[in-house]
This record gives sequence, C-alpha cells and structure tokens, in this order.
Amino acid sequence: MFWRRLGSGLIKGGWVNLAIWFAEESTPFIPPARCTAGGLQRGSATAKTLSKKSEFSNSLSILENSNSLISMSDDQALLVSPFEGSRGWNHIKHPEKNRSLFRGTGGLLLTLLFQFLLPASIAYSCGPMREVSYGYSFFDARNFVDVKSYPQLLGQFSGMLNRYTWSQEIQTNENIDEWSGRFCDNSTKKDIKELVYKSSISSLEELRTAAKSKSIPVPAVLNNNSFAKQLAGSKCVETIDYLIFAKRCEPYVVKEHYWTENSREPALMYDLIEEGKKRFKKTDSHFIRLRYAYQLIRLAHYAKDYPLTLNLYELLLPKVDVRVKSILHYWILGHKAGALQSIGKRIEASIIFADIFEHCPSKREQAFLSFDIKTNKEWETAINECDSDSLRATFHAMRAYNDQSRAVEELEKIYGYSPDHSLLKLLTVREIKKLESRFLGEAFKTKGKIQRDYLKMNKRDGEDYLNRFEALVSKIATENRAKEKDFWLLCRGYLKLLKNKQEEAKKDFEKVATITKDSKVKEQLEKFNLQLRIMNWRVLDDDLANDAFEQLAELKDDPNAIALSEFLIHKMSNLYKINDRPGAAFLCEYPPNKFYANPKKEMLDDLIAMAEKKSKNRFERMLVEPNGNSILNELYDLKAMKYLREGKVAAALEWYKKIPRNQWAKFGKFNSFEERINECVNCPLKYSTELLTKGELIEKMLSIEYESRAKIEDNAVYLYQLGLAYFNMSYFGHSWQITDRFRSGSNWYYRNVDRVFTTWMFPNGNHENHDLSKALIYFEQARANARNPELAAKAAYMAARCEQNFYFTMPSKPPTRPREYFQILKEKYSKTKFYDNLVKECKYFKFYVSK
Amino acid sequence: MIGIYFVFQLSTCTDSEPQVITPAFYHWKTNLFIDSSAISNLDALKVEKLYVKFFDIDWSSSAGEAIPKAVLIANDFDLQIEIIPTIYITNRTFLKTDGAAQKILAQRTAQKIKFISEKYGVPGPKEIQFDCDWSGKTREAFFDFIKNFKKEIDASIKISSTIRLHQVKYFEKTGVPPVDKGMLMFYNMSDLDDWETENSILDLAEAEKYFQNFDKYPLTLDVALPAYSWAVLFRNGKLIKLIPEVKESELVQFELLEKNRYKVKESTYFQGHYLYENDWLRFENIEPTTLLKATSRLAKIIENPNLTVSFYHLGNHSFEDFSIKDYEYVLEAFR
Repeated sequence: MFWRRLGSGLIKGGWVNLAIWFAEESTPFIPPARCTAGGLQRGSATAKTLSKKSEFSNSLSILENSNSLISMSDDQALLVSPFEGSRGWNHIKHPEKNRSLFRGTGGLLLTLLFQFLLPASIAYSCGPMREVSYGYSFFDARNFVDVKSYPQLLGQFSGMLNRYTWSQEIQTNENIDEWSGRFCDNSTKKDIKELVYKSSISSLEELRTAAKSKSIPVPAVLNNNSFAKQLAGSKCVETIDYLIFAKRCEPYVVKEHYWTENSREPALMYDLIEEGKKRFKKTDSHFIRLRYAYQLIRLAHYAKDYPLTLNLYELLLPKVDVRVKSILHYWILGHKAGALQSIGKRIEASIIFADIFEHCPSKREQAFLSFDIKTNKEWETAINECDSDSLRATFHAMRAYNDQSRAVEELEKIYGYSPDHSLLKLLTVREIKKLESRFLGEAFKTKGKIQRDYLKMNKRDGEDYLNRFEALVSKIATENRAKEKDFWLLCRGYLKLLKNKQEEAKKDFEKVATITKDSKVKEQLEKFNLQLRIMNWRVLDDDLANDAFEQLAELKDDPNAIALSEFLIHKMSNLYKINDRPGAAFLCEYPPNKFYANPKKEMLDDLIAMAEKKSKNRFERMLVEPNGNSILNELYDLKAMKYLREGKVAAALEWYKKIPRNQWAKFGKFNSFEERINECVNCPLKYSTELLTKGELIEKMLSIEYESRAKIEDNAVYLYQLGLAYFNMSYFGHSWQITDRFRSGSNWYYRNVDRVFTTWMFPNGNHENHDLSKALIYFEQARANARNPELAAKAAYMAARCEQNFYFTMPSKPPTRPREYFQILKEKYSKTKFYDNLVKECKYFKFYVSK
Repeated sequence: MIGIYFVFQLSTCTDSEPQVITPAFYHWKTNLFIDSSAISNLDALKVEKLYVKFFDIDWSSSAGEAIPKAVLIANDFDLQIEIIPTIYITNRTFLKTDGAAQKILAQRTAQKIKFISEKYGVPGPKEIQFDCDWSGKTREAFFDFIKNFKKEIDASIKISSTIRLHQVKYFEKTGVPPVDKGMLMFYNMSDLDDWETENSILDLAEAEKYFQNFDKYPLTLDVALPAYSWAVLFRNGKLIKLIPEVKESELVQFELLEKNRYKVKESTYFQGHYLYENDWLRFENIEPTTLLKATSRLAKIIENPNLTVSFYHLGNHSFEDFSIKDYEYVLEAFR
C-alpha cells in the first residue's frame, strides 16, 4: 500500500490524447491546449537565472546605428523610421561574419532617446494621461479587419479576448443563430441557448409530453422559455427527441475536467450510435438529420473508432439534403479530418482543415491547431491535391497565421493564387502591426529581455524584409488584380513612412485621398497626414506651440489616437530640448511633482522664466498652469530651498518673498530650532513648539545670524541655534522638508555623487540633503565660544552627530570611525549633567567612554 | 582521448572511500517507447533508475487553475528498472495558486501520479521527483505544495526535487525545499536565447562561479548530467524554438556561418518544423570529453556515498553521441 488518502474511484484508462476536435451541441467546452511532443521545456529558466550578462549592454544597436524612431537627425527633425536610404545600415557588421554586430556606439543618441522613451514618460505626460503605453502604433487594424474573427492573429495588437473563451463563445453563438433562423426567429436567442445548452433530460422529456398532449402544459422550469413554448406549441416532437438524444450523448463527448480521468464506456457509445442511426432514418427534417449525423460521427471519433467515423460520414451525409446550409457541415468535416489524421492520412486531413479554416470561424482555431504538414514533399502533394487556388492560398495563409512566421513569403504566394483572398488583407494588416511593434513598439520603452529580443535582430535582414513587404504591397496596389486599391495604396504609403520616405508617403496619401470613398480609410489617412505634419515641425515658436496645443486637445478625446498624442508630446519635448529649454522638455513628459525631488538649476530657471512670462503661448500655459493653476510659487519655493541648502539664507529669503506672504503657510510649518538629542527624524515636534512657515524660519535664521555677529562676546547660544537649524533641515533632522520635497530612508548609509540617488520614481533622481558641514561649523563655534559648560557639552555632542552622519554616508569608509567629538566630550565635559545623562541614555557613548 | 583524460583524472583522485554510484536516465518525452536496442544499452550500463516525466503542471488562464499538460503516453512499461515519477511544475503555477488551491493541487497531483502508475503497471514508486525552478516569489508556495503533497502519499515514498546551481550557492536566500534529497541539475547554464551564447547546455566557466556552499548545503545531492543535443532556432534575432535531438550532420543542408552556427538559405521543412529563409540555427551538444572534464570538477564538491547520476535525457541518439564506455568514464569520475 503505497498510497494513502487517495480515493479509490479512479477510472480505467483509455482516453488519452483525444484529437483536438471538439464541438458540443449541448454543453460548451474549452478546447485543450495543444502541447508539444515533449511538453514544456525543462530548465530553460535556469539558463536565464544563471546568466549574469548585462541585458542592456548590447541590445540597442538598432537605435545606435540608425536614425530610426525618434531621434535628432542632422536637421534636428523628429524622424519615424527604421532606416532611410542606406544611412546607418551599410557600416554595420553582419552577424554571420561577426557576432559582435550588436555592440555599437552612439550612447549620446541612446541617452537622448531614453530620456523620453521611458514608460513613465507616457504615463504621466502632460497631455492625455494614460496608465500604460504600448509604443507607437499609428495604424489602426480595427479600421480594416474584423479582429474578432481572428483572435490569435490580431490578439496581441488589439487586446483581444482569450482565444479559447472566444472560440467557445463563437461556437455557441453560431449554433444558436442557426437554431434561431430555423425557427423563424420567433424565440429569443437567450431562451434557445438556455434550452439547447442548459436544460436537463427530465425537463426535455416533460416538454416532449407537453408537445404530444393537448392538455399538459409546458413544464414549470421552462414556462418562461419562449423556445420551449414554440416547440411545444408547434408539436416539434422530432426536434425535442433530438435534443434529448444530444443530452444523452453529452457525457461521452464533453471534455472532462483536466485532472479527472476518462470515464467513457465505449460499449455505451456504440449503443448510442446504433440508436442514433435508427433515429436518423426516421427523422424527416434534414436540419435535424444533419445534427444526428454530427452526434454519431462525433461519438465514433471520441470512441477512437476512426474507420467507423469515416464510414458514418460516407453513410449519413449523402442522406442529408445538400441544400441544408449549416455550420455543422464543417463541424462534421472536422471530425472526419481528425479521424483521417489519426490513421495517418495527414495530407487529406490538412486539406480539410484548410477548408474549415477558411470558411468556418467557429472552428478556425481548432483547424489551425490541427493542421499538420511535416515535410516539403507532403506540402507539395497537398498543394497539388487542393481543388482550387483559393484553397492553395489558404494553405499558405495557415502557415503565415503562426505568429512567428515570416509572412511576406506566404503573402506573395497567397496573392499569386488568389489576389482577393480574405486573408491577404488580414495578414497584411498583421504584418504592418508587427513591423510597427518591431520598430516603434514598446520594446524600445522597456529595459531587459523583451527589448533585447527585439533589438538583437539581424538589421540587414530587417531592411530586406521591409523592402520585400513594401514591394509586394506596391505590386498589389498597382496591378489592379485586387480590390480596394485605396487600402493597398494607404498601406504602401505607411510602409514608406516607416522607412522615413516622407515625400513618397505623402504622394501615396494624396492619391488615396482622391480615390477613396471609404470612411475608415479617410479616418486613417487623416491620422497619417497629421503624423507627417508633426514629423515636419522644425521651428519652435508660438504659432507651432499653439498649433501643438490645439492638436493635442483634439486628440485627447480620441481613444484611437493615443500614439499620435504621445508622438506629438515627444516631438515637442525634443524641440524644447534642442532649443535649450530643458525644463519645458521635462514637463512635456512628466508632471511637475516628478521634478521636485531634484530640481536641476537649468530646468528650474527655464521653468521660472516660462512661468513668469506675461504672454505665454497655449502649450506653455498647459505646462506651467496645469488645471489652470500656476506652479510659479512652487518653483520659487524650490529655488529658495536650493539656496537654503547651500547656506545662502539671504538669497533664499529674496526668492521666498516672491511668494505672497499669505501663501507661505501652503508650504508647511516647522521649527528647525527645536532641539532633539535622539535620532528620530519622523517623531512629532513637542506640542508646545511654535510652528513657523519656511519664510518665517528663514527670516528668523537671518535675525539669529545677525545677533551672533552683533553680540560677538556672548554668541554661543545663537551659534548653537543656527547649528540646530542646519542640522534639523538636513536629511538627518526632523525638519528636512524645509530643504527637500522627498526623502528616502534607505539613503542613510551611503552617498552618491552630488547626493543624487537614482530611483524609478523620479527621472532626475532624488537629491538628499546630506550636507552637515554648516551645522558642524556652527556647533564647533558654539562649543568653543560657550561660557556655559552644559551648552558646550551639548554642542560637542551635536557636532559628534554630524561627524557620525558624515561617516555613515562616506562612499568609502575608513577602518576606524572618527570620534573627535566623543573624545572632546570625554576629556572636557565629563563633569556636566548633560554628560551624565548621555552616558545613561546612550549605550554607544557609554561603551566608548568605558574603553 | 577520453581514456587519456580519464587516466589523468584518476591520478589526481584522493584516497577517500569509494562511492556507490547508481546510473540513471531521465525520460522527458510525452510518448514513452523504449526500443530493444535502448533496453540492451541500458542493461549494459547497468542503469537502475529511470526518472520518467509523468506530466507537466502549468497555470491555465482559460481554465483559471493549474492543469496537467503533456501527460505521459506509454506503449510498454515492462522494464526491469525502477521508475521514478517526475513532475515538472512551472514557476507561474505557484505565482497564481494560493493556499487552498495548493492543497487541492497536491491532492490532484498525487491522484494523477497514482492513476498513471496503475494504468501502466508501474510498481509503487520509492521516490517521486518535482522539478520547479522556484523563485523568491514562489518559494513558499512550492515548499508548501511539497508539504501538502507528502500528506497525500505513503510516508515511505521519498520526495526529491531538482536543484539549480544558484540555489546551492545562495541557499540561505533561495531556501531549501522540504524534500528528502535533491538532484543537482548540472546543465542549462548559459543564456539560451542569446545568439552569442557559445553553448547554453554546459559552460564550465559559468558553473565555476556557482561552486560554493556545497559543503554547507543541507540536502544530500544526486547529480543530473547533460547528454543531449538540439538546434536552437532564431528568427529576426529572436529565439523561436528548440528542435530537439538534432545531429550536426543533419544541418549540412544549411549554410555554415561559423562553428555550430547555420543559416537557412531556402525555406524548408526540417524535422517537422517549417524554417524560413534567413533563419539561424545554433547547434548545441555535449562532447564526451567535455562532460568528463566538467564531471571531474563536479565530483570534487559532491559528497554523497550513495550517489545517483542521472543523464538527461534518454532520446533517439543517447547511445550514438555517447558510447557505453563514455558513460562509464563519466560515472567512474565520481568514484
């Protein structure tokens, strides 16, 4: 007995690996995923875990070596193109010759690009606010194809439903539509669905009784069901009998739970098949006959009796009137193809699957997953055996349908066979979306693996691929073999735009404008033209800025114009950058509060100048007056903060005075003079402490500074107070907010260059006011000048704290801690009360003095 | 060559107690069919254990729960070899499965293993192995799963888990699974999806970085060694798929770019996969001498008097790329 606590109800085996073909008449199901022969790849994650190579270092060559995407080119224009002519490509070493291809130069361009391509830049941009950015996508697939019919094909580009959920829904809906049509749309689809899919055998049997009787009513559970009433009222016993039969088949054909083992009893399935054959013969309605045929063929298939499946197909289908148009023909064909595949006739099966793929949306996914050609010879044989060029084209479309395919090769074949094949347009749209994703997509906005995967491509091949695709689209647009010339010209123009051939693109768009009557094409054309116009913005003046504002306002409410809005914002940001307007460039992409943690001088000055301008253009107003309120006082406060950090108190006050005095309180109240001996940054101030605004505190500092100079013979108290002020306004003090807007507790133990710490929260990083040099000077002066030894002891202790915090944040720490002021305390002030209290309260100091 | 190297290795051996080495293989395909030739080779190598992947467990967004995938189909299980059911569980399964669902998952897993064992007449297993590359986020869930699973089976059945190199070096951070012993996976070391990677299967220089803390690791470790080859397919610079069990001689139809690297000149089917013009292939395999060299280094840090050495994996070319002697030399390196 190796097992315990396991139930004994496990079922005998036998139903392993059923064909993918599932279709339920009475119960929805979810088709199983198609697993590879070996299952999941083992251990691949390990390789990733083990690899310590930089994910970023050699991933950016496409940006470095081309003038692609959004970059400052020679004429300082904003380009949108993977390449233009040969520039940027010819000098690239080919990976076949040298795998170090991907290592390139061009860090400056990269820096520029990534300054405004980081995801946060979109999420908090000044224009239409969005949570997530998916990169630049100017081509709206929804304008041109019914994406719901091809969830896998366009799902990744259009936020489609889960494909299995979709598959289940579409099967059910198509079936209900047929029932509804058959019964003249007299019942609601909701009721049909309820009766066909959810009713029990017993309620159906009661319904049958009611249908046969003049007096027995429809069963209570179906009393509100219009379809049940219609069947009973019209005496549709044949239909009800079929529904009962379908319910009885259900346990044998419905996919069981993933973890339970199969409980199908083949003998019972054969019994049902025999009974069904008799019922089939007796049934008058060919609509119902077809459904019996479907039930029987499916039962045989699920019983793994493939010869019987094929025999039933040959036996029953000829006995159904060919005029009955139904999706069930394709559902049945699916089982036939599944049986053929199981007996090794993969070519015949694949031809059927291709037919289903082309014509039956509800079985498209399963047909695609089941399609299985393994060799060149099989492919050639199958192509020869196809009875139409349209089907041959579908063969190529199925191969192209795989998301990993290089579809251009297949599209050429599809066009050759069938220029108006429905999938030609659809796959073209997908390829355009893929190219957008490849060259303009979010891969460029995220670090790490996705980016590396996309960018570490063979660029020469990328160019060849795009050229080949453009040549095909051009051929279709000009040969007049395919309909919708406006669509093909539009695509050609956009591909040219992707290559930054703006003039050629413009010509195509102009041509489209003259010939198209399609509103969707017109809508797309309008966006491409705006894109072109933005690309050509060169001179940043008030007219252009006002124009940009108006365009942005128009785009703001268009959910399909997110990429254009982003593009416009990035373009404006870039124009501001190259016009030496760093603050404006920053605010294009981030809200002001992203700037406050480290307000760089050049940005701050630029923004103050812009905010102070009396005649601002509308774009500038949008930047510095978000929600109609100017950020000018915020900027003055930041400016004053910067001076205060540097100890330039008078300069700080001058800037603060620019803020109306009655608004000083908006920036908080503090008391940087309050003495705090312990290390507690966030403990509240004493209740009795008088709170002052920053401006008042600055004034008080100036006043104390004056007193310290005026009363030079007894100034220790003033000097001590100034020391406290500088200490408490620093990163280490309780009033740090006087000189900073953001403080991270994790930055206590180290110091970066210029005290700026990189963080995902702020693009400029977070500046921490670690500087205690002013405080230390004042404490030392206070100690030296103090006549009262208690005050001197306190000043020495505070100086020791400065000394210690300085040590904590040293980039490379010396082997022993500096203890100059502990030593002074020990040597000179050991007889003070403060010293006694310190020894009692501070174990660390006690340890030091006991040595 | 391998013989000379082996003699050199012997001369550097210490005089410690000889270990008991149990040869084993992994079987990682969905269809289990071992032909008579393979059976005789397994006999010749005195293989005593076969770690058979019974199924994968993966999170299914459509089902909204963890489900079994690639469930084993066996033609014949009439082998005189101990079968060790092995279950691969994806990391995302534990990202998505909470406490209550974990208990159910453990029950279902135990039932599934029992069902498959009974279906194919596998004697009650002495050991069951789990393969999961757990992360910091999934560690607790995976460990809890194992604890729950133990409650579902007889106490005499040993539970083992695969262990990655980094999980030994950083065991204080990554944790140690609550199992009876571990199986150190000594392969898949470098970045598979980086075209520039020389050989993702085995890279001794990379492995050296992780030869730490073996003396402190709390679990007894067996060893899994690579004995496989594959072609790694890249399209547009992106890893597309692995084509398993490829021999380099089969790649001659493609343009040789440099050692082990090929370009598809003309679109074609290859081993059931459709390759497009300009696709790239990187052939990866393990030479016996390379494996012996790596093994000899590994043997110095593995301390297990009853060591199982399992080769990954039993495939069509397992006894073509490696001779019985090659396998024996590798096993001998641990003695």
